[in-house]
Amino acid sequence: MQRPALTAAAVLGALLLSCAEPPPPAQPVPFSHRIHAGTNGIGCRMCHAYVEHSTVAGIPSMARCFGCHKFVARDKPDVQRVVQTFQEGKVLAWNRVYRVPDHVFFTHERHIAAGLRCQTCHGEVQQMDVVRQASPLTMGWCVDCHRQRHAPTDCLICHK
Amino acid sequence: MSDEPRDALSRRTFLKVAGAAGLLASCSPPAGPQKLLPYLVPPEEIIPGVPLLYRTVCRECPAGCGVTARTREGRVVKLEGNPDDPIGRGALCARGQAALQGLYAPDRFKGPMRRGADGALASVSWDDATAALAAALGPAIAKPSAAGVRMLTRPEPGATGALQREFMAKLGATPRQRVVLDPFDLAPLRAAGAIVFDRPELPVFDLSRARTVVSFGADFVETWLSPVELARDFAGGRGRIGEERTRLVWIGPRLCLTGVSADEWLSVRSGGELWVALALLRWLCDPANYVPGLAAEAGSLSRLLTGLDLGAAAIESGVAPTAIAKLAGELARRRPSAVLGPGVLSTGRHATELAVAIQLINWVLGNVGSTVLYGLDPVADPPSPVPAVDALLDDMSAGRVEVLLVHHADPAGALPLALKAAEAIGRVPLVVSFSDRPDATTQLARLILPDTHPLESFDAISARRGVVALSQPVMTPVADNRSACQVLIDVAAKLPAPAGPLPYDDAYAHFQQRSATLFPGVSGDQLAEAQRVAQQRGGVFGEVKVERVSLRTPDPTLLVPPVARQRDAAALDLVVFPTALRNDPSGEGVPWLREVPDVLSSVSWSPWAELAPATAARLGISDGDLVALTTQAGAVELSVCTYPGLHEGAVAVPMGGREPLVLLAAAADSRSGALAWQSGRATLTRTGRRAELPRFQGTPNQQGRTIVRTVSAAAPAVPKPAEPGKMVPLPTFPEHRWAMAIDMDRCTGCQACVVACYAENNVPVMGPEAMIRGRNMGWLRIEPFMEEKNGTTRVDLLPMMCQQCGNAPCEPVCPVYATYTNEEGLNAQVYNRCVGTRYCSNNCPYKVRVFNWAEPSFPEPLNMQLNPDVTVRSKGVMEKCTFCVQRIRAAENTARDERRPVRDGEVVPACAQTCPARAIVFGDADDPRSAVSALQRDGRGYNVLGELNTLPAITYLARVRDEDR
Repeated sequence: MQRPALTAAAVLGALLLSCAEPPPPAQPVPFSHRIHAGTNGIGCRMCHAYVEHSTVAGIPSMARCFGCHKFVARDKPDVQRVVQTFQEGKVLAWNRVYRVPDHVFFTHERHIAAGLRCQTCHGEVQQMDVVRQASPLTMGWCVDCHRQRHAPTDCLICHK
Repeated sequence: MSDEPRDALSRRTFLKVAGAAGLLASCSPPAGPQKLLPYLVPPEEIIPGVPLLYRTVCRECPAGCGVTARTREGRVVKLEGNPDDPIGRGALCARGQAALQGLYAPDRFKGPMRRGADGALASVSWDDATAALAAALGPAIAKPSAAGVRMLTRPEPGATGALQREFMAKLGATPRQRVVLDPFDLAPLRAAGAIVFDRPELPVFDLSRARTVVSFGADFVETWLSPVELARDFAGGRGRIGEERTRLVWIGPRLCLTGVSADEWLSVRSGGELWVALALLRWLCDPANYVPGLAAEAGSLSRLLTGLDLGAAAIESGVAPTAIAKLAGELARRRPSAVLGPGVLSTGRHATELAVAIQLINWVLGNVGSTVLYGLDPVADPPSPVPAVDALLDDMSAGRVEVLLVHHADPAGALPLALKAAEAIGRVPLVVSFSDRPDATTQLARLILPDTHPLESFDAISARRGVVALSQPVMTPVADNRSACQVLIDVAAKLPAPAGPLPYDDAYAHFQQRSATLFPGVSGDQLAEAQRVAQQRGGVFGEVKVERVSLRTPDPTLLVPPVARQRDAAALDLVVFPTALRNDPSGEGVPWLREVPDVLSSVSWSPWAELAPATAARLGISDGDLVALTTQAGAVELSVCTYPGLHEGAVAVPMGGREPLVLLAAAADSRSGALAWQSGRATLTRTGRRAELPRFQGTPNQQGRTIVRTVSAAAPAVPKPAEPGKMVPLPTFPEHRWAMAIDMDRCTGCQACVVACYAENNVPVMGPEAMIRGRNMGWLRIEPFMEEKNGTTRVDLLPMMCQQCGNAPCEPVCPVYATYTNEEGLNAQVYNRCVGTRYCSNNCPYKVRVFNWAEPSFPEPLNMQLNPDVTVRSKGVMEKCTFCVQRIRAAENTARDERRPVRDGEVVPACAQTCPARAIVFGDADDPRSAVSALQRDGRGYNVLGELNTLPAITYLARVRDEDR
């Protein structure tokens, strides 16, 4: 009688494991949005510069990091690593946190133009030391919001 | 059950194992997160996600159309025409669209290569490669005038050509040691210019003013002279009914695409064109016919032509004297006209005589100076006279050439094999090739220094006098290739005395110095600014006045038709023809050029042999039979396609493969020396075997339906179908009803739209085997419909894509609601919802939905071409034309940003954008003032299979047929 119970436990454990929210990915340097956007109050657009003009918000260039860290917080070892990487002509490979499937064509520009705050989808980033996915990014979640705000819900708005 | 072996897998064990495996699979860690790489320093001009456009030039043919290259995140994804360029005016042909795949061709060389002792190519560094070439040139240039060095190049009417000439001069070589090769050069037309008008140049034809166009085998909508420009100007006079509509008469043994657009086809025997031209000239000049307003020289020409035997002309050409008189009468009445030719299809042993006769007809009718313009050919790096090419081949065979530099020419693969170019090249100790893709000549090369693609390099191309098109790199080179100019500069720097370095730091400095000459009297910052502006515009586009020419009465022997040759009754005339997609071997390795079916035969990938149906019946051959074609030069086996647009005494073989080159003899036009493409006779024998061709369209027969409709002056409108009974309320589209109108009187079937659609919409290429099973993935196809009536062949072409029905039959049968009509009238196909039942395709009366039977493959680096705005579909999914919904959304987005409605003409799908004939118009049918609604109301407008009450968004404007006039 013990074997079926064990199997059931294994199945349950595995299911729980696979359903649990994955931890946020580790980044090459522990960049803190809390310090940058929260404590120092730097606006999102300062670094994610394309958000009003393009489908993508854009990852800040290494030069953008260096623009401030040429002067700021040069004593921190992590900042030194970023500066050194830049000065070596290399880039940091960040790990993507938010991802929609390839057949979804999301555009930041349209959502910003509609007056949405970044935090609506990305959560209170200015309070996060480690950014984690704050919304499920499922189609149902997108469509719910579109319905509430009377935004278009035609399939061809996102799927092309 | 008791005797079941104990170790067999029981059902229970299987389920356990399967369950465990499934569990394990679900527990396996997910794939690691995607990496996001930031820019080190962001390029100022790039916004990720927003296209960046560069102006450059198409180098696929000598026409030199301007290109706007659309790049995304540093890679070029689509080519479109440059609207500022006076030649292409924003359009590109099928070949130009496919140039993109030449850049990303998987078989491109990835860097310099040297052939080792074992005959295999091995990579070397650029330094070693240039040093090796400089070392090899050392002993050669020590000899007087570097006698052992030759350069063989394609025409380079710009900076590259100039640098090549300088380089050869540095070596001490004479200009004649640089030979310019263009196998399809219209040397007879050049020669005729010299003979008749003392102008050894190619004329420019302005078809926008011509009321009647007569083409002697000049396939100007596909390959002849400047196809985009000529097709556009010609189409400008179409799409109307009555006297003001431009008429076209096609004279040739085969109906090529231009012939298909013609209102009348005079089917001549191959080689009979000269007889027709002379008979036409004689009729026009004959005082008895009282043609008014002829040039003064008509009288003397008439005297020269009185000896022409009209009876013999009729027999030799197969065209009745009445047909010639009718055509001459039309030319006399409708002026100005334009008589075009010869093209590859009419270049035989007497092509210069034909060209002379054609230009004399143009002269007596007053077309010269009006539709036939001299003085516009820049004569920049024209192809060498054919004797120079022959001399080069002789020198190589005799071992007098030590180093041969080959620049984008493929003598071994593009010339008739009877010329024995490959053998001649094989006798050269060092062959250096600058080609960036493997071809027959690079197989013989010992050193390969791959040039950059035109989309990766700077140049200044003189396409026409007054027009200098500037090309520029639109992205960083895909591989470790280096521009041939840079290599020449590098090699020159390493040459021993007496040669010295070229006076340029690099190829860009040379280009800048050369482009500075375009702005005389400007210097310093102003010059830099002028150069930048010109580069942004795509060139320097000025107007040059046409020069007046005067007639030199030609040598009377030119106006004597050839002596009728005894023809072997059992043999057939061998007709070889180029098409836009299939004209030279460089198309090999460019998947779009092979996958997109030939319009008239529907064959893709494979070569074929065409026979007239009557000839095939006489010989007991049917479609798909493998036959052996034998000429004095060689023999090949090909599968037969019957084609009613071919003369009964001929067999036709498309260019683009080895087969026609095997069959062709080393014959030349007797006066210009040009290759006589149409001079052979072939005997045809049945092999008794069959070889199925990858043919797309099952039948060219409409099976009693009226899919293509025509109108005429007598019946100028298409009868409207009876209003169907309405069982359900008709759909309405409150915001937009996106719609398209296709004018079939303008459409030439050139397939530029088809290739543009492949490029824009990530349409996968499936390969020949899938094609045999009919699995073509094209969203847009040109359907040929043929019928033979009263001894004449009618071919009607129909561009067919998703009709975006308002009442779509595909929708109610979808079990998962993956296809539906949206509020803008688009028939949406949602890939992520589709489960692949294919019910929609079965229920589609237009058969425009295609199914992904296999996972599409885009072998590297072809994947770099994929349009990031369009989903790459996967196996098991249905797909179809979307009206380029990504472009609609982009335009709507811009309009919303600017708080205004979308303007008419703002949304341009890829097919409409590239159409040289401007046959496709797209817009909002809800807006009564839009161009597309106006065309929908046109009397010629109809819906294909509209009787099915599908309410299509595409209106076809019926072709005008007035052959009875």
